[in-house]
Amino acid sequence: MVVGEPKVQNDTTYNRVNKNISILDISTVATVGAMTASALPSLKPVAPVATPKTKPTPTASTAPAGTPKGPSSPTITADDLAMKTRSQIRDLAKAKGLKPGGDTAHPDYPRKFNDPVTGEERIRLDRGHVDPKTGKPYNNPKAAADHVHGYDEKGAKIKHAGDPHIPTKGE
Amino acid sequence: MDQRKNYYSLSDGEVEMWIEQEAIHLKAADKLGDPVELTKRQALDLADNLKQFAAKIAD
Repeated sequence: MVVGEPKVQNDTTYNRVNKNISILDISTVATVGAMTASALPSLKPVAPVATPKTKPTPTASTAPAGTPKGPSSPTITADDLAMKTRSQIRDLAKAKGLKPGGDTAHPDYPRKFNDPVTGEERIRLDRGHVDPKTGKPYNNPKAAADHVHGYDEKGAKIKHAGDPHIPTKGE
Repeated sequence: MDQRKNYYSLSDGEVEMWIEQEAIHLKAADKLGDPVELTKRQALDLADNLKQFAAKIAD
């Protein structure tokens, strides 16, 4: 099981509904097919049309040596992010091939960086959090101070000293 | 892994959801009692599962 991945253990209505839809589709196709055949008895058999075969798209593992590789999901570690300035983290994101995302009008833009392959969020620069209800900083001092979040290729949180709020060091 | 039926968890168990007595029970807090931060993908997954759980409860 992948840490941080959503887990569902249930007999979902969704699955049961989809299964029923599949059965309905098959029976509907069979019925329409039978009706069409009986309604058009004079049709002559048509020679099968040759379908051009398509070559499979090369992947990193199947591409021949020397073939230029496309972008791949970079590896990011907690040490890559911990105690770095925000500028250093932006430079790191660029060097890793991550794509800047988020609100371009945000004063801290760019502060979110997405995976070049999956499009999922990999790095997010946060300011210290304040509870809007109480006006007080979060209980976790690492969350209450400026920090950065990192996510691995599968979306699991990258942790530093057991905490997903990875401390940054200035601008 | 939790084997309870109609149970969902997210973000290392910081978000948990289950059905009990025809109601959805939802917990979301980190180990220090702070709010849970979700990415867009996680938020959409939670929303999708919340809707599925709601569909299981009779009106």
